[in-house]
This record gives sequence, C-alpha cells and structure tokens, in this order.
Amino acid sequence: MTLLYDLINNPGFIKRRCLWHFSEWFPETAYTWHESDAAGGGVTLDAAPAGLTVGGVGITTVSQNDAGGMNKNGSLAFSNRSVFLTTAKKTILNSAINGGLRASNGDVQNPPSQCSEFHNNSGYTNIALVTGDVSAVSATESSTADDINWHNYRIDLNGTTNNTLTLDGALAITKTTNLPPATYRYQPALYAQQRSTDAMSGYFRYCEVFDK
Amino acid sequence: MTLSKPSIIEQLQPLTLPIKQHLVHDFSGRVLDTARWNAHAVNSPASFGHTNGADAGYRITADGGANNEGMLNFNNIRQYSHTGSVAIWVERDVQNTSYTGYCGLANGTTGVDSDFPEIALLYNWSVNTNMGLRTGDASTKSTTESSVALDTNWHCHKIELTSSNVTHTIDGVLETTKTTNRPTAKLQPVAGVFGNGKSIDVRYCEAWNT
Repeated sequence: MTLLYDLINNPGFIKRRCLWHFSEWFPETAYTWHESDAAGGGVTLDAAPAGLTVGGVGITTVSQNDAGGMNKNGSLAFSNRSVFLTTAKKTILNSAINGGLRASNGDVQNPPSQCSEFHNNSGYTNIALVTGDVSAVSATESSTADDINWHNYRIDLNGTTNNTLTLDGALAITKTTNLPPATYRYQPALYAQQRSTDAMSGYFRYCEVFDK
Repeated sequence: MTLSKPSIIEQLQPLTLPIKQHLVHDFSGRVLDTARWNAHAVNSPASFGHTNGADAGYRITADGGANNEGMLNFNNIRQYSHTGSVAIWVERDVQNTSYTGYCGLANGTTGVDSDFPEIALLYNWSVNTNMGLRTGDASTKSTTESSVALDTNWHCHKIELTSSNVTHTIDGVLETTKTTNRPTAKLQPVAGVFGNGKSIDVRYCEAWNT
C-alpha cells in the first residue's frame, strides 16, 4: 500500500499543512477559520447553488466596496517557501476575489504589504499575481482575462527566487519583484469584494497550504 | 533551485480539471465536529457520541420509546449532485431486529419515519431479509434488496449516482444497479437509525462530486 505520507513528503519530512474542503453545514469559524470584514455580508454556506457550481464557502457582499473573507486571524504558520492552492469563482465580472498568503489580517482594500495572492479582480484586465515585500506591493498580470468561471489557483512561494501562479494546471506567471520576505510568516486568506452596485459572491470549495 | 512538491489534491487529480466538492470524515475524535455535522434528533429522544474502543466509530441511537429516530446530516446544506456523485459509508448495525438503519445521501431532514423524499440510501430495514438500496424521487420511493443478509458486522457501502442509475456496492462487490425513482435534487450526506432503543455505528464517510 502506498502511503499518502510518502507521496507528498518523500524526499523530506512532514511540515506544516492545512487542507480544507468546505464541505459542511456551518462555516468552521470556531477553530479553523476566522471571519474577517463582516461588513461585507459575512461568511455563509451556499445551500442550493446551480448545478455543480457548488459553493463551499460563499462570501456575500452587500454594497459597493464592501469586502468579506476568511483568514486564520493572525496565526502565521507558513513560510515564504510554501504552496497555497484553492479553487474559487466570483459571481459577477465587475468584482474581485483574491486569495493567498499574507503576513497579517489586513483587508481587501488595505492588504498587508507582505503577501502573495492571486486576484481575479476587475481592477485588473487579467488574472494577476500580487506580491509584496516590506517596501512595495506590485502585480503581474497573466494572459487570462478576469472571468466568472471556477479556476484552480496554485501559488508557489519559492523564497527569494520567485513566486509563481499556476492557473488550472498551467504555469501562468513567474514573478521576481517584491517577493514576500523570509523574515515574516504567513497565513492563508480568502476574500471577495463588491466593486459596483451589484451584489456579488465569492465561492471557495477547496484550500490547501503547505510548507515545502 | 525551485523546489516543486505536489499537493494532496494533485495525488487525486490533475489541476487541469476543476476541483469539485469533496468530504472525508473518519469520526476519529473526542467530540463530533458540529460545524460539519448536525446531530439531529428527528424524533426525540436520540443520542449521539463517539464510542471508546478500537475501530468503534461514532454511535447514533434512537433512544427508548416508540418511533424514535436520530440522524447525522448537513442541516440540508446540499453540496452533492444527484446525477454525479459518490458516497461511501462504513457502518454497522448494533442489532438486526425491529429497526431501520440507513446512510447515504438525501434531501431533507425529516428522516425515514416520515419517509423523506429524494434519497439514495443504504436501507437496513428489519422487515426485509437483506440490506437494501432505497432511492426516491420527489414523489415515490422504492427499495431493491441486495444478496447480503442483515447482520451486525461492519460493512463498507458505496453508493454512486450517475445520470442513468444508482449503484450500491457492498464490501467491494456490486450488488444493485437501480434505475427507478432516482433523486431529482441536490443531496447531503446522512446517516441515521429509527427504532426503540436501537443504534448504528459509523466510522468513515467520504462523498464527492464526480
């Protein structure tokens, strides 16, 4: 029998890992996730979405520029040599979902400087990778336009070498500027932001984070 | 050197495919994860709790009195497709007389006493001789028995729903392929027992959309 341990750790040894399927009836905010920016409408589970666009955690906003999300409330368990992976979608084009690793809670409108996050954000033309060091935050856009489809987002933080965004299994962005530094630790964050007068939701149905 | 290590999800599927809803729960713990599971006394009293023993799992009991029923569910948060999903439950009946034990996927929380609709369930009804697959659409339910007699042993039940049928595999052997009265709405994982002082144990549940 092949052990999962061998598949994911060999060669090497067990490091910190978080895995969440968001398959439950009530958002797990007591022990695992912290609801952030509740003014955005809060975190709910979607009971009856259409077809297989089955919402794990639905983050619903209520007015323009409202934002909501989930993080680990400052439990900074991951390094700048780690992997963040999620599957997510937003419900309307003129809005934003973003997720990745960040060094503090922050919020959508005022993200922390030290971060590495994907943005499917109408503020950019294309799906982007946003990273920040202690001095600046910058974005590199992919060639894939913002949309309202489900996507698998994998971000590899490779120390001082680069950060990469792999979109649906294909390497989309390699970024070498403003990389999150080793002097900070990071937590996963999943956010959605309304950017017009139309209500929106962000859906996340998988999140995995691990140190390399 | 850029080190690339696989995630757990990449052991199950390539990232070129969409990651769909997936549940894995082994009922190994001190108390029930009540954010994930809703322990529901359909007809009170019913009791719930982990059993202190090797491989003993989690016990659901319809306590003493007529027509009692207890059920684990998602409080009708239904994340699984009626035309493309799989549910695996490892379950045992503590007794095999005067009870109904069930596990699988369902729409609703009213339980087997009121014969809730939209189901695809293992259906161990002591009136029957063998373990059964019970399915239901919005109006009609029906049961097809397997060749496996009711007993008090652990069994692994796999129920798969496709756009054309529902299958029931017991301990790795396909027992039933059912095409009638298939559910027509999204479903949640459920497990429960109906009776008077009757129990079932569960120690693993996995469900995913295909």
